[in-house]
Amino acid sequence: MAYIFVYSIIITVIILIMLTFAAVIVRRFYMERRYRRLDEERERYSTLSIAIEKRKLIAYLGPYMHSPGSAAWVAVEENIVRAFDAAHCRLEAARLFDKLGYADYYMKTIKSGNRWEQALAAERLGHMRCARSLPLLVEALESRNTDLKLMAIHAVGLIGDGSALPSLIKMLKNAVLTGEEVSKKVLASSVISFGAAAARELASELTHPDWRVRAVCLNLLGEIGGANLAPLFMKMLSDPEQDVRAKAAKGLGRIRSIESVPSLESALADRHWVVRLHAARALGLMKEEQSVPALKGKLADRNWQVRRAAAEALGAIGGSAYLELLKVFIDSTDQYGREQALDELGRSNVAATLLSMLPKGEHNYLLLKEVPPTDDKGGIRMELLVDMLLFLSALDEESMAQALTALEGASGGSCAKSVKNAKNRIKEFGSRSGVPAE
Amino acid sequence: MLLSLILWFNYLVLAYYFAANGVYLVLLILAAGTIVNHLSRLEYGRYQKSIHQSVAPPVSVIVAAFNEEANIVDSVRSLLKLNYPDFEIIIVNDGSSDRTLASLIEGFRLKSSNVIYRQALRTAAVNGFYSSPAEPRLIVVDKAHAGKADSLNVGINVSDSPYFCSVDADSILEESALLRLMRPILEDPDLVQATGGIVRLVNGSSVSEGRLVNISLPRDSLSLLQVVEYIRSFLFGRAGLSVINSLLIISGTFSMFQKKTVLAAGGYKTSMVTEDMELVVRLHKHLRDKGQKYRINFVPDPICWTEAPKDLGMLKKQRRRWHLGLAESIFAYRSMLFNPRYGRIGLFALPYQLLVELLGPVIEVAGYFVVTASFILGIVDRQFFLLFLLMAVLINIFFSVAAVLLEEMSYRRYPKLRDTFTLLLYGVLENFGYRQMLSLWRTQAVLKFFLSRDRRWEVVKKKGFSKPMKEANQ
Repeated sequence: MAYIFVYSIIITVIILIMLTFAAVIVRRFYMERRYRRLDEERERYSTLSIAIEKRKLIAYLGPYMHSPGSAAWVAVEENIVRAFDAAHCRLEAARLFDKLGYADYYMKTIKSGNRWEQALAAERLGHMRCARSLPLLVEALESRNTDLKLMAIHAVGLIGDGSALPSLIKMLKNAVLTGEEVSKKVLASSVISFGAAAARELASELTHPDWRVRAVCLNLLGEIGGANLAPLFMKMLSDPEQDVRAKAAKGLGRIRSIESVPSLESALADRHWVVRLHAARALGLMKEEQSVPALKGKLADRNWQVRRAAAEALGAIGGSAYLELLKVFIDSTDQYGREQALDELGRSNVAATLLSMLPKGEHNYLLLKEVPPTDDKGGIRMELLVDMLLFLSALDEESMAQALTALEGASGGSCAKSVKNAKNRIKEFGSRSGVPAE
Repeated sequence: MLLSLILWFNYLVLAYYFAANGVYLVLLILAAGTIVNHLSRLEYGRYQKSIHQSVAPPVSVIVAAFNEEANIVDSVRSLLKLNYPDFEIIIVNDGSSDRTLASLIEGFRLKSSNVIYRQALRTAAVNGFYSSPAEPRLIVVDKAHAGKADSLNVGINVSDSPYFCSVDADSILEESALLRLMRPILEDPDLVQATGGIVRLVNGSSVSEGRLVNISLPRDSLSLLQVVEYIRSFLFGRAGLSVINSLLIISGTFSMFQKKTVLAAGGYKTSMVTEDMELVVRLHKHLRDKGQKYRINFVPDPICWTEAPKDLGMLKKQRRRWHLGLAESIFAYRSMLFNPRYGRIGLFALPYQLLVELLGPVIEVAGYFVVTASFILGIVDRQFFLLFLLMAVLINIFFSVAAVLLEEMSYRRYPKLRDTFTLLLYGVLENFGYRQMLSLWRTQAVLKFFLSRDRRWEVVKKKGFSKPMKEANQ
């Protein structure tokens, strides 16, 4: 019995090995032949995409008509798809896609193919912006074939016909509220593709009782953008839900709405750090000097992400904002604020820039020029400190007072104190890094 | 008494043998299905390129580099060519004693920069940060040597993105690698927590400017045997396990994780020999403890190429380390074994790793001795013994050849007809000596795990990528 068992396994395995060997070799030969044929056809039709690119009208279509699935069919399609990637070729590529029977073939396949063919058909129809396939694609949004649904979502967005928008937004709401299994990211991408047309539909959802819907719609509106949306975003800054307020702040930053600066500055005081974070980032995108004092205050925020966003925003504003960062570094008693200011000054390479701007003269003689180079491995931060000290120590008391006054952009009542603080800082860091203090 | 023991052991080996091969067969069938599905889906994968940039999640590519001066510049160049809308590259120099950091500084004109380092995960001291104005997506972190896991944790701390991708410093990624690895995440970001791809061996192929310019099979037998082994391991081992969401290993050479989940699970554990498997098992445990629906996916695309050891000494070190890591990870999560609370992970995936992957080589090696003893002592009939031996070899050959068929069906990365025959030949040859040698090394690793406290990382030295002929002659 055991012998029969082992013999039968041996025979079965030998047959399987031989079949597998044969399958490998047959497939290799078959695929080589197929790819060789395809390469020949690609070569034969390679002029098609060039002709489309040169805006030549292909009047006689006979040579390009082939049976679906053949190597020539694939080669012609590849050329049309390639040509479609250039904006000026799209019209002619779409015409060829339609006239050569590809559109009809894929519209048939979307209904009757297997699940992969259906999804491929939807992808191709979308890629070719085939408007007459829209009803089929909208129907496919309800499909149980998840791949077909995904490709239909994407295709509908590419075609960009507003009549499909209500279906997409309904799907989006369902996905948010019921966790319907559909990629929210692909759905979002599709809705964004509609641009201003989607903005109207999304804006009407901002009164939805569920904050998740409001937040998602506001986020998409931010991606779509448009100056006319500013009042809407400013209104949403007072939404009771923190995520909605954060998305509103983010959106205002994206559309760079200057009139919203005061609202965003107020949002810097929001009790939720996410709102403060997005408000700081938005102000950084706007680069308005008037925001510098409000942002400077946030360098000492209790949340490090807000501190970083505020420092980055000041860095983005530049000019006097750098000087405010420098002052925070010199004057602030808040360790985190100083760290953050130093971090941003380092990133912006301000110290080197300021040094290069110093006028040459005896009174500006660099007291610290003999400082030995720091060991990078041991302290990049220390190197930056030395840079800052080089800058500060280059100034005598009077120059420093002038510089700090200039930094303040005002009469500088607190200048004397700042000079004193700066000197203390020089002494403190100088002794730490082996730098001779003044 | 001894005879009876030997007899029972023979029965045990026999039963084990059929059970293990039965599991392999099921995995092979599942893998074939997955690969067909994946290839069909690739046909419409182009849609990802037209996804709106703002919805593609940003990714931090983290590379832990320790004494990688041979490959590091080429690897970073390959990473910079990745086709993905929003990514940053974080290279963590793990206190290399060679010119890894200097090569990076020279190769990319890096300058020291000032970054506040926040430790969401506790790590060894960070010495400094370097960045390049010409390559704003690149940041290099220099730190004290504390191992790969610690370096990856530093990378996670520095990362600004919701996803991170761990890549080995001796790897070359194909341009579309991130896009393809992110596809399952993009399609279901709430569900998919991690993804891993196929790793292929770069030996024999040429690399220029961080790009694979000529894919070819290696000429030396050791590398060829490893090529077949990698194909078998990735194409039907991992693809099969992924179907049933039982993937416990996604290669640290190239894997993508949701940062939030990894942070919640505590990051990489620095005390383990192999950090990649331990993290994946911990993620399974963490997510199942939370009662969260999730998937850890394998993407059967050959998109990452890495260098394999070219001599037996290094190969031995590598395999012993991997197996020791497997033993450690299973031991660390032994509470999950056969525990119904952990579903298919507790009832199938971990027992499979323990009984088939970890103890399989031990049983195999023991089997060689005991069955031979049985034969000498006359317990087993000579003809039956030889027939069984033949059957065992044939079954192994079948699995190797089937893996080559999967490769042929799917990606055909090796273009020449001669390559196919070479792979088939080595699929047969690997069963005569190579597999037995690996089993012996793995058995040594298991013994070391139980008998020795010394579990130091065995460093595997690489020789660097081959350059195309023209470049090499310059």
